[in-house]
Amino acid sequence: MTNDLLEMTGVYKSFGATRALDGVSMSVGAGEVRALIGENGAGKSTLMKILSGAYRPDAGSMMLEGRPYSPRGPREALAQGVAMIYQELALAPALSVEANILLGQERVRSGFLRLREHRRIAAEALELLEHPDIRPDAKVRDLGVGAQQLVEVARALVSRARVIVFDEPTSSLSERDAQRLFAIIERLRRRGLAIVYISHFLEEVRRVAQTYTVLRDGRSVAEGKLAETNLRTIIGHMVGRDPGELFPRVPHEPGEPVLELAGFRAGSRGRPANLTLRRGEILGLAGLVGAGRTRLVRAVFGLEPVVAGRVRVAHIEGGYATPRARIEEGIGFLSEDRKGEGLAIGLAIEDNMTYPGLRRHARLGWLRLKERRDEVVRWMSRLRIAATGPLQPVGGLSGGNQQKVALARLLHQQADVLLLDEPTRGIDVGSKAEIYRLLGELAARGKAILVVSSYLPELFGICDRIAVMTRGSLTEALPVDRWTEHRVMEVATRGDEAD
Amino acid sequence: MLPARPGLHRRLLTWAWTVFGPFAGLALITALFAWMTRHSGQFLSVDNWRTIVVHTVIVGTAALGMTVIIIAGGIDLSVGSTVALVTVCMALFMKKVDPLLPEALRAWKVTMPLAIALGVGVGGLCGALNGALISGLRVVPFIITLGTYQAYRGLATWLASSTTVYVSAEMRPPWFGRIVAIDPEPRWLLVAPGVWMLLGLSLALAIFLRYSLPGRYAYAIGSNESTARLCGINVPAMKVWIYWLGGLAAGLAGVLQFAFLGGVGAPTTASGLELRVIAAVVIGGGSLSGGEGTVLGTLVGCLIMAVLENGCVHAGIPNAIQDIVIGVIIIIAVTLDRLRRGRTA
Repeated sequence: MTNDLLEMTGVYKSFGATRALDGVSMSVGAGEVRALIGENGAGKSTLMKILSGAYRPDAGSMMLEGRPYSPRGPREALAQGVAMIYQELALAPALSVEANILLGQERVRSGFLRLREHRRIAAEALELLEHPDIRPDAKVRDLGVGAQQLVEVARALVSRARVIVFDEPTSSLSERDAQRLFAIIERLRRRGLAIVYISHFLEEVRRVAQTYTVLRDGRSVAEGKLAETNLRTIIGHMVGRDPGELFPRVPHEPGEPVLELAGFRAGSRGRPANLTLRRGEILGLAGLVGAGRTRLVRAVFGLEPVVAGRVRVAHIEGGYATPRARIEEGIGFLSEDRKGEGLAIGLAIEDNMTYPGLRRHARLGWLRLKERRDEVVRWMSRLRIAATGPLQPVGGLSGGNQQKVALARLLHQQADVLLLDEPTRGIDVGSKAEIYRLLGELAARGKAILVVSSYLPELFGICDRIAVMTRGSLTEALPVDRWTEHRVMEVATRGDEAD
Repeated sequence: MLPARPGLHRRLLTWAWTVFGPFAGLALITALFAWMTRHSGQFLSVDNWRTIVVHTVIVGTAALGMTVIIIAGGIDLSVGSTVALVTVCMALFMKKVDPLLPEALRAWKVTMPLAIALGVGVGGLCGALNGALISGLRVVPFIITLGTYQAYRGLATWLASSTTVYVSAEMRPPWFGRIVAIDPEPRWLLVAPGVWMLLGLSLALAIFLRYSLPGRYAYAIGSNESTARLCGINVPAMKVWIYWLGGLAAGLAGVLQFAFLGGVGAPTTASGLELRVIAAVVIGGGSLSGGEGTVLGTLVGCLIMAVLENGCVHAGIPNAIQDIVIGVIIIIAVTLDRLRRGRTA
């Protein structure tokens, strides 16, 4: 094609013995949104870093508007018209919106910033994005995540970028903010920009992009028009085998109730929640990000205060209890924030896996390290955790293996009730399927499992019952066959109109 | 993806580097000074090394406590002030309280043991107060101990009425002064009893950090406090406990300082000690962002500091230059250590 704005052909990059990119070709034209799809570790982030100039390719060519493109850093990339919107936002939270938009591209006259000019440029960019409601003098940290992302997009616009790369932009957005972002991407496309859209969420990709490129093991293995393919084919390309059962079902039977919430409130919003979780069942908590699901499970586990109501665990009733007490009652909690809270990144697998249940290995306060090591090794092979050994720091593991360590911790502590907050966030398809199977097997062995997830196909794939949370209020938990994805979204967004 | 398993040779090398790496710096500095002072030959003499190890005892004892605090992600700037307060309290006890004790008790020669217990206890109290303030007020340890650094020093000065407190010589049993004497008595001890005490405590602490629940919890808290909380660890209580432990070590260092000063309570003593103690831990591989640090590393860190100071004297380097050299070495040592671990601090 001649109208390609950005064209990459046969790009190679290796780090030591590892081939990160093994021949990637991709192009994107003006007025086109191209989805870049692939599992974690497929080479998406390496490709990003080459585009932004953080890495230099070992071989291959890159052309921007027909001219060779080889930036030596993000600044040069931006100057030549390629902007990146990263998954983890790159903003200065203490600075104002306009200062962030013009960061690195300040207008200066004889050594002084032209602040009035800044205000005008920032307001213009926000106007272009049809969001003049964001005040240029507001502090970025006071904005929601969705609005912060718009500030990044505005920054790209001010730099006159012609290619904008979005890296998993919706991973921390609510459904409404995501919709807003899709509308903006469509507007940018109509203005003739070329967009590269990196994402895990295939349903979402279909909504934003026209064309796609699939990366696997550092190679571009498939590309084409999204309208001419289906999800199963794409998943097949991603995993390199028959997608088979992404949601393997292990038969399990619900038993007696083990966790009951009555008139339970964790925040000030919404109605008090009532919920019963039984042995041998997987219950899903659906809802938008910010609906209060995370707060609810954290309060049950003792990480947030309980405002009102009772918690009954295996017939013992009470209000708030500390995490220590909950762990002793047999409750395990998996945090949605794996790196910030869930795991101590610098510590070894064996430490991370055993902290809640460490007392089990202690006699009179002294640890039996051998006994602990043996058990950790057993869990590692049981969950197929790929690592050099139990002493490897968890920071060096892939996202999927990190999550398996976090899950193994709950099994090591011998929890009967598992509260899992976004258990498959940011991990590859293969690990997801393994975790789904594991949850099924645990339910079959009589564990009670509560899953908070923003990924509806997952909830429908593994849960027995689903309850929806909207603005702090929890619906009744209904069997999964009485819900549809459409109905869940309807309930989840209903609160917006209610008050 | 399965990370490649490194070959046996490589793993052996990594292991050797982890265990002996800290000693490499020490050997390097020793060799450097031995070469610089090759004409006098005094530097490598047994007597000189007796002096060097005795000079590590006070910093080393306090550094044991600091190691635990730094592993748990904290810091204690009040160590020097605590040491001064301990010497003053011990001196005042011997001077003012002891004459009030019944004669029968004094015949048992309990004055010095009581004073030592008091000194360690005062240190523990100072540490526990640090911990309680950090946990209770939820203010970062740097600020809290910056405050108590001033306050404890002020308290020591006030108690001592702004002057040095002397204790009469007959009240100090001869064994007390010998704890940190350069020439040990009896001779077969080879080095001062204080050095053996430091080694014994180090071994105990190393075992404690590796094999006890609180020891493992300290690493958890320092590596990621949120994770520790999530795992059911009582973080505030652990912190009080850890700073109490650090205070006990500082208290013991104060007792040794009291012996070193020849039994005087000096409210101005040990100023800047906290920075030397922190430097020793950091040179030994402790990370100020928590979760890392070993007892062996800390001991080597103390030795490196002592060898530097002693070597500079033997090489005839003026005091001012010594300070510059030590400063530069601290930066180089920590940078090299970070490179060795393949990450930035």
